[in-house]
Amino acid sequence: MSSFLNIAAVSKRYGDVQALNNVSLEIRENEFFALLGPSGCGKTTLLRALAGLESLDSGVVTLANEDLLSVPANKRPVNLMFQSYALFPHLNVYDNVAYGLRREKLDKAEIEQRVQDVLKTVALIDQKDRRPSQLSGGQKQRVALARAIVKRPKILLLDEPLSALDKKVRSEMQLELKRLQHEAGITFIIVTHDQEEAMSIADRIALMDKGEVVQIATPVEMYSAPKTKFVADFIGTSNLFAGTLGAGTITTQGKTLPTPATALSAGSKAVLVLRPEDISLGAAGTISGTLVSSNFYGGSSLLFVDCGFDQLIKVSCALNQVPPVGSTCHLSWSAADSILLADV
Amino acid sequence: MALAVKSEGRDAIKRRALLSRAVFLVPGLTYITAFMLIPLGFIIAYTFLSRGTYGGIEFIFTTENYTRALDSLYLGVLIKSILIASTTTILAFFIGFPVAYAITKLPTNRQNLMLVLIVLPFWTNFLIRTYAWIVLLNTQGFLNKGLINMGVISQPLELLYKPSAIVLGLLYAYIPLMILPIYSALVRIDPAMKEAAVNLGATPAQAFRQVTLPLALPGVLVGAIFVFVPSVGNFIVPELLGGGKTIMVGNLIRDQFLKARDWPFGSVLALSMVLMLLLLFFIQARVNRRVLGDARA
Repeated sequence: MSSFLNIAAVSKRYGDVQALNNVSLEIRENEFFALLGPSGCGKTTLLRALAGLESLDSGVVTLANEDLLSVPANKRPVNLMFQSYALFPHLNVYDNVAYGLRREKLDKAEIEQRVQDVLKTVALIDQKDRRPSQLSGGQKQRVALARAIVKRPKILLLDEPLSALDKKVRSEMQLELKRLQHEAGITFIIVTHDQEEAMSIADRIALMDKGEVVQIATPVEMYSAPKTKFVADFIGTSNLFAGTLGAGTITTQGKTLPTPATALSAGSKAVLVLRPEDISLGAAGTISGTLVSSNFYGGSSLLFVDCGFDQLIKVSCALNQVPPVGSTCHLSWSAADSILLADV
Repeated sequence: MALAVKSEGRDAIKRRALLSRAVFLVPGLTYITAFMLIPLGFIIAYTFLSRGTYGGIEFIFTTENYTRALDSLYLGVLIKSILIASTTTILAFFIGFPVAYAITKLPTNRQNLMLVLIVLPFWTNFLIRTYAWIVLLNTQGFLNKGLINMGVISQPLELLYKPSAIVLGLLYAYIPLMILPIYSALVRIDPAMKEAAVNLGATPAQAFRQVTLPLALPGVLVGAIFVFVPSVGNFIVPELLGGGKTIMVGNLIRDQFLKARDWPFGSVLALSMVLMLLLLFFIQARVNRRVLGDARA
């Protein structure tokens, strides 16, 4: 697999803030790639730099082996779907979508054809004479998407594309985006702070923190083999126990828990990561405590158990097995299912 | 039965909500009625009456006031006034727009400072500010003396007492009224708009022309009306800087009431100004709707 978009050692500083610190990424052709991270991690800065709306202090970016950074913003084969959508309020849906093609000086018949096609794809052909102010949030989002993909860019950048939509429309649009990406054969790079969204939509994820890439992996890898405590904490739900390693154990908050096989030496600082679904309830367990509350999530519930740690232990439980609040729970797990990370 | 009581209660709630909103309209409506609509009614009535010998009116119906307004002498004054006010408005746009645009590019605290500086001249008396131009521009004034001393000219230039001096005076007086609404329209434009245009392939110049300019148009129209309306009816600037030779419609109206004592004819002229204003607002509303669509839908 050859790299298509190659981002090598890019940095950007705003005054005292290091927005991007020596970031390197390789993104493959036709990949659905997610830049994930908390707000202020630099993901949007990177996206805007790829679009040419932000300059970089140092580093090299090549697209299909050609220097991208020396191409002016309006000539890049890269289109951005803005978080605010940035639809032109003085133009109707059709003219919004046609705007980019008209700048390419294509002939009228081709513009007409391509705009019609893309409006059919996003199911907005009946709204083509409407102004943006007359559209719903979901419709605006689709116009913004149509306006970007009609240009047939090599890369489509999406800046928090679904954040303004309510949950139900959002999951529909996630499917829609995946379908479109597949059909159009365009490389998608999506910026999001929502780990669930990144996990469900992307082929690969780069998790960023404080201007640096922490881990690049597929969603499954990132969930099952987080590289650092930050990744384990940010991706999915987990129970973290920081402590000192012994022989096959970790001492945390005065208690001793079993650890999986590790290359870390005894006596070093480490974090034990335990996913809620790897813990089971039984007659006896490694740790025990009182059920404080349970949150219902459709198919399963998340139990919060007070086992004498500073934090409540999160346990995933099938709906018909939820014990009454206040009862004693015995928690057990296979040490091999837990993850041990060096604590730096 | 219970249902009927409930629906009555709901109507009462609606009525009360409507009433409480109406209460807030009372001061504004009273003001407009007392100082705008009633006087306007008087003016309209006066236009059909005859002049009194020593001012005032006589209750004799006539349409002669209107036919007189169509006389080429008065029509010429009206056209000249419109020309001078239009020139002022267009110049104000070409000078004011870049200023407003430049201000939006400053850091926020600097923006506020610049806006205060632009409004600052309004804190001085209008008459004094206009007189200052005479001091600057007359044949013995600062400008002419300066140019003669530098050897640029040998004879003083006749800068005052012509239409260009009136335009200059009006432009100076009213350009803040062009800058402020354009500024407020420009700062409201989402910066992502221009970025989106560039991202879609527009050059910065195209992005400006196709996105920024149309979105600022409502502000430009407000500014144009704010400059045109006081310019066209102004009588201080033409009198001081125009030397009385170039009489504008404002001077004419004032003279009809205060010198010629022809109230009915003055009323016709005043009414024509009001009608022109209404026409401008109508055009502005149409263009606004065309530009921004119906935002309420």
